Amino acid sequence: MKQLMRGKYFALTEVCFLSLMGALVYVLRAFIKTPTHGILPGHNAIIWVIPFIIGLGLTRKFGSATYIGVVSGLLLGILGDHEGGLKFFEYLGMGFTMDVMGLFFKGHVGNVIVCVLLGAFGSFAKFVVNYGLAILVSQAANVLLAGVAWPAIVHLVFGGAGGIIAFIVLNRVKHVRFPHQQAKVSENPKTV
Amino acid sequence: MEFRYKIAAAFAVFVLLIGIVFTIQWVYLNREASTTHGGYQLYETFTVDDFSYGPQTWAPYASKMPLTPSADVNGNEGFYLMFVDLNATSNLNSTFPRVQVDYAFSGLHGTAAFHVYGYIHADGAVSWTNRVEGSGASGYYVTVDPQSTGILSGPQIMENHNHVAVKVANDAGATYKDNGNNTYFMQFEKEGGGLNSLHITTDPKTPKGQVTNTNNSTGTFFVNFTGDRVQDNFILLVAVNGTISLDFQLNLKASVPQ
Repeated sequence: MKQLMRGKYFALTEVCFLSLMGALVYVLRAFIKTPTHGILPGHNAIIWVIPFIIGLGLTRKFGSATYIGVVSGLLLGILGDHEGGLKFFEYLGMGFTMDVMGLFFKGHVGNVIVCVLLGAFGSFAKFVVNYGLAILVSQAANVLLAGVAWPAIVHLVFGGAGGIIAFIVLNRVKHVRFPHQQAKVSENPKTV
Repeated sequence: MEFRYKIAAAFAVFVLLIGIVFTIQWVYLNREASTTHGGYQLYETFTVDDFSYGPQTWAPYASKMPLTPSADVNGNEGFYLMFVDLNATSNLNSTFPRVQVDYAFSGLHGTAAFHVYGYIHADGAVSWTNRVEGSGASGYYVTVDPQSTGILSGPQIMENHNHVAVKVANDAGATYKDNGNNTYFMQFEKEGGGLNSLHITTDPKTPKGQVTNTNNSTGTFFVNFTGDRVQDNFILLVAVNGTISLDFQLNLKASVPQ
């Protein structure tokens, strides 16, 4: 029973790690600015998706990416540079989509194609929530939907590219274990 | 399900998503553009006395913005500027939300450049304009019988390119009277920002606009916004170089297609 609970719920170290990943999303979003002057809307997905995928890849638990989305969304909504509180829902949607994808590809999150798909779909989910909220709030559907294709493609492509970077990083750090995983390995070395 | 089938399924969804967004855009861009509109929001003739600023080669923005593509903002070819309150914004229920501008010049001996500025009442400032050069640029330029630039005695060079109040030339004054002196406050946050939403187009089905050069002294173009920040009012910048004589007249009509 104790073993089962240990696998289902997040350990304290995992929560700390995921919180740091959420904070990293905020830091990347707030402080890394690329001078594309709005021509590539959503190109920053190439960096935002990395902490999400690393968090999901290392903890390997459903809810990891959603948790990162909650933390980063709250930070951006409260502290972000004119971001507004609705940003929270974008990151929540992004994280939840990645969690669902992670569940679909259970056991293969370390695969490069899966990382690309996680990044692309997560970024696309953020775009969908962003446009959905903008249309609801501003009532400007006629304006926004007439130019929807380009930002959608940019989100998909750059999210996928971020997935490749996340895969490289994940491959370098996946041997690092959380204390409770290390303890399990020590109890049963054959699982290594 | 085997891993490779899962990958195939995910890629199928990926392609499907791309197909869906292109279909949505195609459907929206292939609707009929409405042409009927109510009364004119602006119907006024402007003369040489309505030029407020110049001679200068730049328009207000976060940095000095050239009035024509690739022009030197420190150059000598001076334009005289007037700001015209169109007293209109896009009707969001229209198929292609936009404001129609009909112009008619007489006595134009040079180039007239049209640019648009967007005002949001909640911000109390003008923080949006069309991109003049580079990818995504739009603008409307009329050249008739170009002659060397003369000097007008009244107008003065604008005191600043940003964080500055600009006076409108309309007889009725500014639609929004935030400052009480028929001015709008230009407030651009940063260089590169506020340039992607507003456009000038000659085709409603190309909402992102284009750069138009024409020799027609009468014509029609549209101004619009494509971002999620709804503009409350458009202000048109008219910049003219060449010889501006006493017979100069510009008739402007602004209307909102339903």
